[in-house]
Amino acid sequence: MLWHKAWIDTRWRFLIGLVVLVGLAIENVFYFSSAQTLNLGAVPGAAGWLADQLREIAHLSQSFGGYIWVQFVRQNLAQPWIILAALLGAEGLVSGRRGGLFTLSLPVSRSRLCAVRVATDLAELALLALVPMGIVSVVAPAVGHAYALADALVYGIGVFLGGAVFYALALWLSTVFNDRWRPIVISLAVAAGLIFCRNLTPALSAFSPVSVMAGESYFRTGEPAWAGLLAWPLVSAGLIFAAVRSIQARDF
Amino acid sequence: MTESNLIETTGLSKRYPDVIALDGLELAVPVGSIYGLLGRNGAGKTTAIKILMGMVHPTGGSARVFGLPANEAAAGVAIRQRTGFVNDERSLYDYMTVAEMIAFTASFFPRWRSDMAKRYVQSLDLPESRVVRALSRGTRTKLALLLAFCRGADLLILDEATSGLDPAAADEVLQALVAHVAGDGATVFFSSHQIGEIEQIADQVAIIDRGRSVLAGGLDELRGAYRRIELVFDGDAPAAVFRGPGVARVERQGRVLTVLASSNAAGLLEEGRSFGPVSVEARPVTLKEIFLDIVSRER
Amino acid sequence: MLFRPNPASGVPIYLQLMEQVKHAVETGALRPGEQLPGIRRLSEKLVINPNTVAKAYRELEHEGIVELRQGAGAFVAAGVGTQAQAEKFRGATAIVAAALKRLRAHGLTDEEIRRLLEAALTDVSGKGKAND
Repeated sequence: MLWHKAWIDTRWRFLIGLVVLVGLAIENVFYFSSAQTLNLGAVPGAAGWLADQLREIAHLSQSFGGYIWVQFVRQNLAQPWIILAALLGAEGLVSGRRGGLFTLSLPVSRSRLCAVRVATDLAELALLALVPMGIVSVVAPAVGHAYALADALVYGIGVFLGGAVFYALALWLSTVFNDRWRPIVISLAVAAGLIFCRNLTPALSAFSPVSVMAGESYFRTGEPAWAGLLAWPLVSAGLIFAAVRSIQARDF
Repeated sequence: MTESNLIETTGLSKRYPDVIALDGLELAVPVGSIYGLLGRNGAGKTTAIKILMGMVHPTGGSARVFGLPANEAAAGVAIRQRTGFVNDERSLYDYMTVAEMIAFTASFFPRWRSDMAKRYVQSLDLPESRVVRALSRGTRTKLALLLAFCRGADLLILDEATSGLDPAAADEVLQALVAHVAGDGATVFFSSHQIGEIEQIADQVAIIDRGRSVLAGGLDELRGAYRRIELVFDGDAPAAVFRGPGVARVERQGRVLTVLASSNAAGLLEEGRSFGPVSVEARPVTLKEIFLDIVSRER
Repeated sequence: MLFRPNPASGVPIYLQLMEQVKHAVETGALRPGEQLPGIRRLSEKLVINPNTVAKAYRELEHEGIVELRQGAGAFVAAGVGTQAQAEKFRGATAIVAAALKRLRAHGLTDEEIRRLLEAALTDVSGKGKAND
């Protein structure tokens, strides 16, 4: 019943996250028409980085696809998703308190305990990326637009593969620190830093996980960022592997 | 495989950065015994037990359970498949109910006895639908016992099973333990700093002090070997030196010379008579006196 | 009739149990042919190690007081607690009464007499006090 327990331990986080992200998806879709009228009134002539950003958003928001990408995929999906990933990862693999000693007394190897937990977390994170995107595709016709399911899935997969590194980072940090807050804070700080860099120097940040998450390459060029989609999952795997090794060597 | 010793540790050591928890511990627990590990708080009992259960990695020596190395991952799983464990903290899942904990634990043990579990829920008076968080320490202990008993284990390891319990609850725990052993024949390895319960149910005992076993053997044999010999003299007691072996401690106070003999009591008694006392007495020694003598001697 | 042994007395529990059984036989609480409590039940009731109960029963069998029947349990041996035994104890009671009388005449209090007897009984060599 390890799987059952992994589900029980994470289900509220997952379900609340799912409700929030699906809610945001629906809200974003229905807000499209208002967004169009709103953005047209943005600062047309001002200079500076922020003004450039606003102009780009206004420009992209003219089309439904562009709007969904800049508002939802890149922001309203990716950012809460990163928070959920960090929360899931910081939960840790074997809690020193809350029944950890009982778990370790079971006839199950530590690597299996970790594997079940990680698999459950990753499955939930994948769903948290794919389902909201799928909802966009399903609900779009209600506002008179179309959003290809294939595109939705590509973006969803990108969010998951690019963003899993934040889950893995929080997970590895949870084996380094004893409390739950430092892994979360550090992972989110790293994510915030990367997002900031991406906005500041978009050319240099093409390879950054937040760009891969947002599907920058696919949106702008139609070509998925294959290198990033391969590299960042590998980094995630490395961090997860390090976390598991750390648990195996630990004294409880 | 048949092993006459279900648990065996050889030179078992565990060093942390700031403290030496175990310093060459030697233990041999025979099959079918109720083995009591007696020691002060911090003597190393819990560390030793956690090593046997694969929760702590030793820094030196070896520990084998069922002949398997406790420190290896795969062997550890095999060991825990046949072992029931009650830990000091009564670690359980706070959010599960009693019934859920039983169902969860049962799923890991093909030899789980659900008939026995039902009987224990009745006899130990466990509230099936109450959440573990809401249980008293005594009830948590009984639940932990049930989870350990019903898995068809050949070995039961209990770390301070009666700590924090009032005498009535402690007695219930011991009674359940003894009844289970009588019916199912498991070997029991339990640690305690309560001498009374070790004297009550253990047939083998080891005293652990500062990470080392300083005494081990059958409890009845120990009781048979130890004697306190009291010699009263007319004048001041002489600074007698005993040539015979088995002298654990000699105390002189005024006219009284007291010898704690760990063996050879008869021989020492004869020697004592030769010093010309007016009165000679030899009486049995309780485990408590032996224990206190040992841990104070080690200082 | 069988009560909890005292684990802290220094006397092995199996010996205490044997004493209890012998006492029960002497007073007639247990008669020849009657069955003793089963090992499991007794260990549960007295909260002691079942191995200890088994050991006590084995030693009692060795001394001829008890019979262990395969699969059935422990039974008080026939011929125990007989007339001869009762006679033996009647004679012993008389000796004790006379000795008490003499010791009291010697000026010892009952407490002192009790201590003397305890000391003499637990003396390892069984030879009594050093100066006699």
